[in-house]
Amino acid sequence: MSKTISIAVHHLTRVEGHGNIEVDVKNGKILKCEWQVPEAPRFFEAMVRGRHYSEVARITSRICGICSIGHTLASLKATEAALGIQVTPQTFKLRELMKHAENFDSHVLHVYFLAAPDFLGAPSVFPLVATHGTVVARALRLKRIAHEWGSLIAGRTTHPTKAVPGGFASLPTVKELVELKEKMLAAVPDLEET
Amino acid sequence: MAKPKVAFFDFTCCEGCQIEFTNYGDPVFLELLNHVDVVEFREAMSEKTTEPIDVAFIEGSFSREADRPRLEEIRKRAKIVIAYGQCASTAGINALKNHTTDYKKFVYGKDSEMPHLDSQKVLGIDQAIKVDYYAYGCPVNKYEVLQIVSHLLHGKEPVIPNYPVCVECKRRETICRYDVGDYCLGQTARAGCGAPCPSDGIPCEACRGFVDQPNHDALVKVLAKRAGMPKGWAEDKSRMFTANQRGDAK
Repeated sequence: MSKTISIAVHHLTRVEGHGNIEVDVKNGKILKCEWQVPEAPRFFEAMVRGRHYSEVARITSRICGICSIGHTLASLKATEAALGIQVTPQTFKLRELMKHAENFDSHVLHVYFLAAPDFLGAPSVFPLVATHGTVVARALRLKRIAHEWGSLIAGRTTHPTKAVPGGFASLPTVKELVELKEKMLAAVPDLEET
Repeated sequence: MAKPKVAFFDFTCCEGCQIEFTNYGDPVFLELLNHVDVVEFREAMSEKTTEPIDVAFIEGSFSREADRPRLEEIRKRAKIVIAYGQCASTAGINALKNHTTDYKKFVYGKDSEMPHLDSQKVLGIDQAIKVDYYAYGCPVNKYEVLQIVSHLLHGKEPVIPNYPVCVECKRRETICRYDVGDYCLGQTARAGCGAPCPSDGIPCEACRGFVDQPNHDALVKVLAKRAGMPKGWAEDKSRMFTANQRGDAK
């Protein structure tokens, strides 16, 4: 079978991070099949050298704006292990809740902003505002809840501020946590629709 | 009147400022779309354009010569260029490696000369192209971004604070970090965030960069004398988000 294919996708869209795809097939023979990562390197491992332990999580969180809570928590865990710090059960629970906020946020981002346009036959979420307005509004509502949820515990979702080695610089009040719980429960119908 | 065409581009960064754009919630986001047309946004859109655009939001630093043509191409077709976030404005955290030369070798060892590790002294995008406005912050303050867009839509000059974070702490009556035995960079850090960190019990790390012409010598002195920071740390402190705004930035 003779087949000739030439694919050159530069700057893949609707993904976090940068990627190119290049495929070259001549007469059924693959000449080139490459997944290129044109992401500019930043050398975080070199950046954290010599920094004070209280600064490291704040630096490594900047590795990624989408999973900065994960990077913060991983760094805090490493710092605490190095210093022999044991966190309290309360800190552990709040950190878990903070990570769940990020996972929720990331799933909403993926399902609605990155993947949904493919299922609904649009190139992005923006034309969907006109054709599938309720879906977009739901997406934005859920994204906002994730943002408020993470921000209540972490200070903010993109590059958390309040989580520090040993625990938290400040804690949410019971009232704030109860209000968050009510918001989460109110979001259940939106999640069922999802 | 046609809606202004707005586009987002990313360079050397974590893409968190773009993510902030999705965190407004439905009323604000949908209202914003009544006033602007988003025509390109790689992280969220497959659509691409080669047409002229009214406002280009550029996220990320200028960290390799190979990116210059793309920056110039965006500049050429954009009426207004906004440096979107600290990486684009002053290189922010990315500049933390600028005072070192062994970073490639340190991280990648014998593979440090791989072509995709290309990197130079990391700079704000205004070192490659002309920038009209700056949305500072790591990440951006999304409400300040709304203010900038709103001002531009009304034909006004956006107002970006050029006073220190201390002003905002005083306004919200936050107890000074120095008075509780901590350190803080608020005295030279650019305000505009509303000073949430000191009120949450943590020092300002100047993630929005410094004000214009910061008195860095005085900052080091205060860090050492009032916060009792060891000399080396006090001198090194501002490399975190403001390495390119220090007197020793080459």
